[in-house]
Amino acid sequence: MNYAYLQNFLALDRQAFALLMRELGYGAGACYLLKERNLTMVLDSGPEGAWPACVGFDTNDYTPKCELRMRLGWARAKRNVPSVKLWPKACLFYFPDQEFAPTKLIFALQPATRALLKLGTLDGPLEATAKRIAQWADSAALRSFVSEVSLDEQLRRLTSDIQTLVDHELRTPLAAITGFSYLIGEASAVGNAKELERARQSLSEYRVIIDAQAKRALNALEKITLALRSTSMQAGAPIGEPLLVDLNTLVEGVCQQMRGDIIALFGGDLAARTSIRLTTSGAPRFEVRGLPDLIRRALWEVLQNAVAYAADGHVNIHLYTSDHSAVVDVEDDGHGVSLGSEELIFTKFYQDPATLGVRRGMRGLGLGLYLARHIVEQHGGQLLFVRGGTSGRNGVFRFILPLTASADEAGGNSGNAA
Amino acid sequence: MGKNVLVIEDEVYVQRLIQLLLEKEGWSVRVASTGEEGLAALADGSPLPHLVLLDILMPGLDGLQVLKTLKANQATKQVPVVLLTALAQENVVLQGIKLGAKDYVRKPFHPAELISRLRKHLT
Repeated sequence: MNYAYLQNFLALDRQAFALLMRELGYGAGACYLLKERNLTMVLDSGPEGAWPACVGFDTNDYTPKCELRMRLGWARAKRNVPSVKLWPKACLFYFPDQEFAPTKLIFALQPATRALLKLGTLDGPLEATAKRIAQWADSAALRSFVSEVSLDEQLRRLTSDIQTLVDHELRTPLAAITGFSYLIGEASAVGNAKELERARQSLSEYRVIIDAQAKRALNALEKITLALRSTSMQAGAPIGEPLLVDLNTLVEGVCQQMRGDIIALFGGDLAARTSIRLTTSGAPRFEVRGLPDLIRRALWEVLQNAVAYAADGHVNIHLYTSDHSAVVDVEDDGHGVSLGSEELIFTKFYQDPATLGVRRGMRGLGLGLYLARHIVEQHGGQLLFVRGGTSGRNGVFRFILPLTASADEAGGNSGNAA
Repeated sequence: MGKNVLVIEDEVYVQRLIQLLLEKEGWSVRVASTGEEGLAALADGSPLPHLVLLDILMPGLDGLQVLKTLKANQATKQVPVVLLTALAQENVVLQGIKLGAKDYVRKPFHPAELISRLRKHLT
């Protein structure tokens, strides 16, 4: 990872750069390059009295640190700002913890400096610096640097995600499988008839548990595969030749599979109280283009979530067409998503506070919705949480996938809303 | 006198497995599904366990936080704690040892290994 280029990029005309920041409305601070305690780069600016806009990052682990630096001539307290937000002039970015990416910082400089150059409001050293920034922002070397940073960062995050999945979702079911297999062996080696009868009852219980944990481990493997594929998709690699997919058949298949796996994933008691109902309306054909395994996986993740959070166990799925798209609404009778979390729930590892303690079955990891949305977007569609729903409950998870041209025509072009 | 063990583990099947394995050894087992439940069990006036088997990764209060609380309390600091972990990273486990845990067992574990480790620390 070569940060030297980035350091040089900002090191020149430091004073002029600080003046430029002031011109852009962030003139309260000066620009510093920080090389202590693993911080590689620091930009300092910000309107007086406002949030500090100073961003640095830790070379070793990308931990974003925000520090307020001293302005020449007057002092400010040094403090950590854990969260970041987008400034309206797109000059500096705040990032939520773990989401910092140097690429965003570079690109942030472009629109602001170009806008100023266009307006012709800069002169002398300011103009020269702004031109240099704009030039560097366009350069092949910078693009290459940005690309390198981006891929390295993605790889780091992917490694971390997979490690978490392996630790949490594979080791634990394997512990149960190993342990209950051992108990089966112990139970089988008994002597008298009474002990044998007791053993037989235990064996039945142990077998069900092993089966459930094996399914859970398989579920985890599917997620790991998906996480790996999602990185290929992000890098622009082809995801495979898209096929014609009959969404109706696919959704029915996912529901069948979930009904079969509920005992394994959520236990017998919960399975008995769970119902999954699928209805369709509108066009005769729900044909989309894509990779059926991925679409199936995305639906599975959302459906698994719905079953996990369904308070009385009722999950409704409605497939219809609308505006040249196939739409799948997944609705459960649970407490829904808390206000303000509608987009956050699609963030990696995010756990909605409203759901803590109410999830049925095994604890989730917080990757399912993130991966599901990623897949749907790769297919040219959307995955949203929409408030309202037909039953007056909190809302629905809505998949929107573009219909094939022929399916669209068969539906009458305008499509039929639910 | 029979030994009693407090198992603090949120995964229901692992909890059940450990309970069965320990009861086969003649030990009595109390289970808690969260860190908060575990601490409550230690403070509810019943006799202290001879050992606590403590999972690290749990929702809410995690194992290391429970361990810290346990060791900061005069009444419970002497109770031996063995950590149970699915985490591959060594540093988390080492942190637990520094906080006062006696030992750790990694998932997946062989039942015989678990029993042997616990027996070593049961006083």
